[in-house]
Amino acid sequence: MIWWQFLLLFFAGLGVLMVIGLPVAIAFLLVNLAGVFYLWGGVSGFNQLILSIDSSISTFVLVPVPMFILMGSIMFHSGIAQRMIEVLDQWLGFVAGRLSVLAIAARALLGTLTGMAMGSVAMLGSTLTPEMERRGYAKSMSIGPILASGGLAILIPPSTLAIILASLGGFSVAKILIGIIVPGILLAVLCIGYIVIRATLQPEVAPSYQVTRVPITQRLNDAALYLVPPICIVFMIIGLIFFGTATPTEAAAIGTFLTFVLAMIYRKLNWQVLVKGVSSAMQLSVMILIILTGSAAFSQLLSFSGATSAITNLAGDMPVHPLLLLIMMQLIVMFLGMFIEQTSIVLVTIPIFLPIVHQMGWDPIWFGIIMMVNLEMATITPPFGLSLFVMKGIAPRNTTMGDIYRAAIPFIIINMILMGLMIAMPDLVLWLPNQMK
Amino acid sequence: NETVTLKMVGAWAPEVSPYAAVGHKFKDLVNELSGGKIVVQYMGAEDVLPPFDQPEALVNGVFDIWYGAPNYWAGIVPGGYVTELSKFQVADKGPGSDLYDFMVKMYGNHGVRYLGHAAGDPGVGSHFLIAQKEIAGLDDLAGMKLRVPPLTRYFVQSAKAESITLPPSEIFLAMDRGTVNGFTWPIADGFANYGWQSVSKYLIEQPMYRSGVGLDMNLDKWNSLSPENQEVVLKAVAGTQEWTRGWFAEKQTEQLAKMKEGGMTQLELPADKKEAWTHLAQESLWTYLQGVMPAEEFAEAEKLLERQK
Amino acid sequence: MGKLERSLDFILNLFGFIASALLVLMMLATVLKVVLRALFNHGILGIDQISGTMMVYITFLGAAWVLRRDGHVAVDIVTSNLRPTTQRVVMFVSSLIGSAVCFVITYFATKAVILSLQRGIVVAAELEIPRAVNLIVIPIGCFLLGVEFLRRAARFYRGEAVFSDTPRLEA
Ligand code: NA
Ligand code: NA
Repeated sequence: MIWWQFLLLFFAGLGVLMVIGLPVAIAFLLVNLAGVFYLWGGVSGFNQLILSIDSSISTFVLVPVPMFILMGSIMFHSGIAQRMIEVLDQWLGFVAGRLSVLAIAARALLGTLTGMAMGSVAMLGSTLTPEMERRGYAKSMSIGPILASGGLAILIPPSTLAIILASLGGFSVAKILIGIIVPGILLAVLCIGYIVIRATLQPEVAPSYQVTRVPITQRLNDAALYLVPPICIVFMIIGLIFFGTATPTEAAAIGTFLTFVLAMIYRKLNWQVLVKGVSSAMQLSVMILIILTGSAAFSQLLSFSGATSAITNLAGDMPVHPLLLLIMMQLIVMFLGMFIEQTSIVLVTIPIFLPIVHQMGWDPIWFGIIMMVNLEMATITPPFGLSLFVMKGIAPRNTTMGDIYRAAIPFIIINMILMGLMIAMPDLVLWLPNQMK
Repeated sequence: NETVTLKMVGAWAPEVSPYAAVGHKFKDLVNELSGGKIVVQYMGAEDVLPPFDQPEALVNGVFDIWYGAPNYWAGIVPGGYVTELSKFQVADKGPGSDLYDFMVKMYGNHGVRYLGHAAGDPGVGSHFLIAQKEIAGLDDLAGMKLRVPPLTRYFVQSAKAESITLPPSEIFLAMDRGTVNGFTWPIADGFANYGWQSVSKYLIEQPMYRSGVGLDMNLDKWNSLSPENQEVVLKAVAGTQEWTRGWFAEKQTEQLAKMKEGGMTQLELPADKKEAWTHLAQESLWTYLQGVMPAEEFAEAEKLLERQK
Repeated sequence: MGKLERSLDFILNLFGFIASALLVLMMLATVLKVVLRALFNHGILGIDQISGTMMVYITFLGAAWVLRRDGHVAVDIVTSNLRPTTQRVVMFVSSLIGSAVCFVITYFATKAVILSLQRGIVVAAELEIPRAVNLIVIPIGCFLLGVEFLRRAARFYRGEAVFSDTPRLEA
């Protein structure tokens, strides 16, 4: 078989299996079974598939995912999250769509912790979505911002993906880490701007609710009691990583542990909260990890079939206008991003793209950062963006996959606008890294 | 007179690692020496299979030829990387030697055809220690937090330093922030590609292990080759081993220049501390290998590699 | 509810409990390691590796329990718009496919465990434990997941389960 036949079969197979209601993880596994049979030498390849299931999740690098989920779950079930939101309301009652804004801001902050989108989508989604639902937010306003926020993890340093990209492309790691800051902040600002404008023009999507006037002393008191401690935990995690006391995995575990301690101090950590908090965190973690057992091998099989590099090679085969070529290359990344995991995309595309970048005389840092925004978007592009599945797993009962796809679209467009801006104004990206020696 | 196609997978892609060039040199030599009768087809690297799963995939016949670090075999062939301790110019003395035949037998017991260990001249392309403080001998290592691959772990632990596990992509941040105060790396293998020279201070110029690239083949596939084709493959192995010496020397010089340019200092250990360093490096690994290798095999390895206790 | 079903539920709950306990244990072990390193300048070796193994155990011990709560994500873009009878048929069929996939994986995973033991494969990491320790939970978890899929299929067949009213923990 040639590569596009594999691609078609993989894509169609996965699509059909998912559409008939098979859990996403099982759909991946079944397609993998077929792929392994053809690509990895028949039955003996199945042994390798089992090994790949183990390797895809048996790594401490992924431990922050269940840790952040547990942290969020305990915050929610012990009522810490709800109290935080109440106190924030006292202060920010005038901002339209403030819970959605909060989601973006919280995520930008959490983005400094890790480069993993799924863990934070799960954490924020499980704490904020029920509250938004309760206050009558439309699905587009409750789900969209949390999805959009997930990708910020990759754009706000530290970002493992940025480091992989830079070392593969042979350009400065430090420059790319600095270079993603402005697009990261810009993305957050664009998202917040969109939310505030939409909530102002269409108040029904994010109903303003009466915030009772609270005297300033009471407000300060509440903030000190219920807002400062949880925020301190987050800053402490950042500090532990920043000052090198702990690795990201260790810092995530410490932050989660401190959340338990905080709940205990508030006298909210009874047996019931513990059971509900831990078991729902387990449920979410299992749901995410089991998808990873299938999606990792899926990406590898596509690479092994030659499809991934064949698609990427399309860019080099077309003599077109430089701007069109750039757009073509980004479209290829976007297309791959719909169904392949990000690290694999970087590993396959960069070696093929880089000669083109050099030949065109483009700044590789500029190109790399645009690609980062693109990859960031890949976690929320339908149909197979992994963050979309995570959101489906935590969204309230009546939320359909269609709701989630629709909620993601405005934020995908925002990402595209950002990429357009970066292409049109290279200085936007390059100014900050060029300040370095 | 048919053409044979062999699928090759590597632990690293050539764009990532200069060491990958060794695997690709081997591929080209096989294609060339066989006059096109054997075609080695490169399938990919970490994008097609996680590097640590690749050795078992070779045994399972997912592909036919593999290149990567010899110590990736640790979990499958106990002591499969014993030539890291070799002092000979060609680490395994090359096809036809007694040491080479010993390695072939050792791997053969586990469903693998050992092809070769391609390394630089002793001291070139080896594992080195990179540290944030000046190191004048083993004593200075006590209490340091060092990021290590499995290969150098026993040395680091014997020197009473703490060994920390991190994927290579985390080394930059860990060094920058002081999560670790050093790590070991075969510097010729693209040290500066990762930008590490901007976050590291000292290179301790005392080689520890040979490092280099292991080449292996699926045993059934090897047995299915005609004797003439097997001959061609072994010639390509010898050719690759010879070529690698020059390649690693070139890469090491190149990396050293970049490290210097990035502000790093090369430290030579005081003459009286060098031996203890090398001795501990060698002996800690020998001790570990004694625990995992069958006694008879271990004794033979000691003899063939001329261990000096 | 038959005795068989009660025992199945008991096993699912037990494994679910173990998975939850492992999640907390993973956190505590990591915290302990950092504390020891900060106080005595030496952590415990192998915690990161054990955490990795725990991830596999959490996933596969919890998998069937999560399915019981309908907690595995599915794309309902088509299924949610079908007429109830059609929906039932589709869900019945997809549950059967699910159980078939799980049993196939169970079979090959069992073979993989045996092969791994025969080959004497160990994990090349800090603690050189047999890789079979990691792998063994895959056939166990997949077998239970397959059985739970069968039960789900039976429920859709009998019309006991209506699409989207199976219990689910609100996170
Ligand atoms: Na980040
Ligand atoms: Na995607």
